[in-house]
Amino acid sequence: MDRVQNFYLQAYLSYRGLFHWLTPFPYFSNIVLAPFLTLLNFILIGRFASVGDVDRFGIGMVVYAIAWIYVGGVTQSFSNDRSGGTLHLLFGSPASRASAYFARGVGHFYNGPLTAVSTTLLAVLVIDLNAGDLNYLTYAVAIVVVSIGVLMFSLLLGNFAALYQDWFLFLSIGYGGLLGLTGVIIPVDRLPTVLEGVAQGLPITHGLQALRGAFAGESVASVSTDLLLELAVAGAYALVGLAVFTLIDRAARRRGILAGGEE
Amino acid sequence: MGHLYALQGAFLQQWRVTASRYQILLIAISQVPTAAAAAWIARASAEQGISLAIAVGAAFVVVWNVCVFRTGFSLLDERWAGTLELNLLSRSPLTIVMLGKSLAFVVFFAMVGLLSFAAALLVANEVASIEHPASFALSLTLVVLAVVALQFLFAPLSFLVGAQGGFFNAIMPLGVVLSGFFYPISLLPNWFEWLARLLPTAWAMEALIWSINGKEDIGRVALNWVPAVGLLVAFAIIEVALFLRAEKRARLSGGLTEG
Repeated sequence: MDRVQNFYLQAYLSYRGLFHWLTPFPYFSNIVLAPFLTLLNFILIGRFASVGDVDRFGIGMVVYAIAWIYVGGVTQSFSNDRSGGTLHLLFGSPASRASAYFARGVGHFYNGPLTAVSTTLLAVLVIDLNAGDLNYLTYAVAIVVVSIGVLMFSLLLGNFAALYQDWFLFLSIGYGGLLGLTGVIIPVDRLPTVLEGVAQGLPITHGLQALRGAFAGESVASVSTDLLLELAVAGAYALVGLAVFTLIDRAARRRGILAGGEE
Repeated sequence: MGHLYALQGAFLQQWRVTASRYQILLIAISQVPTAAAAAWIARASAEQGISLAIAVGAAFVVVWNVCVFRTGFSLLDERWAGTLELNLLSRSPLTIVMLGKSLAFVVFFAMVGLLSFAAALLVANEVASIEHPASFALSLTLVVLAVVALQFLFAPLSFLVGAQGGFFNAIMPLGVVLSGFFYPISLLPNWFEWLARLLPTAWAMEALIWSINGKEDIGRVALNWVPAVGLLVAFAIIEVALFLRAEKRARLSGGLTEG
């Protein structure tokens, strides 16, 4: 019971204390406005270029909304832990490393599905994204699975945001990589071979296929391969992320680094 | 003459702080994928000039996205560092000092924006001709001035609202959408277009796109320059007023130094 309580407390405190977009306007701005406006931007580019199916960009940007909030939220939480001078307390605590690591993401989780749903709703209401054939169950499952994948990826990036002082670099890598390489706009099979290989190992790539299936009315069973692949990618990021976190933890204890922004 | 020295000094100070290979890397990583994605959509188009228009727009998107908050943050940095007092004691108005800083950001990130421009052309794999080169040159100048004016508006605002974390994250894509950096604003939903018509960037970008693709004659393009210039003047007046207010707040509250 203590472990559960401790995990909950860590998740709550790190989310409330280290996520600086949690005040009303920045929160609304990042959950609702920014993702929808980014989606609108790409839909309008498609209409300007008179390409036929602009909805595919819209569906891509629905999952990119998840990346927007997780990558920004989680990396800043790690960075704020360091800049706020509280990282040494984390590394000094006797709590399980896995518990400490994953607690940093749990509080953020609901933001992913929330922003995906609000972006979808606005896209349907304002710019007529076609959701006529939408399979709601497949949509819900795909959104949750993609959220898990992106959250694990964000936690891994968060490690580096804590290790280096400038979290914007890792924010940029996350945003840029996921926009350019996961099929959100540019189909993965149109990328150069090397990048196509990289894309297979990124979150979103497989989950997005499942979400496109949901908009085409497909059942969970028919997109299960994509969902399982997305979960496998998420699992790999969880393991690698935890390993990196443990290595940083050991280095911090041994070398006395990472306290209050000091190298 | 003294004001010009202040402008030059502020420009050089900000340039030295900002211009670095790390900044180029950082901005390229975050902005080039957007340009590449937009250009990938454009390459599917059979219409004349779409790719070039989007490539030019991509460069301005970089300037807008980066500068809209940096100029304001530099004002806050001055306060945190305790050097805002020196700016306020100077006989040059704070507006001039901040304009110098703002221009440093715009010039540097416009150069970084060329990376987005090049990436977009590379992905689009097409270089179209410009139908009206003279009106293109004038429209381009107006877009540059409009972007400077628009992002400069947010410098005193960020000071007045305290630059909450994440405050600008919706302002950036909103500015991209309403400015029509990637498409004529006539494509926007009605009430978005109405809002966009209040921005000089929207009129100037529309003129720029028409100059590239030749969809409108020069007379129609010129009709867009008039509101663009008018709005530029209006923005300049509003910005001076806001800076005076920010300056007054700093003096009255004694909040020249953080804490």
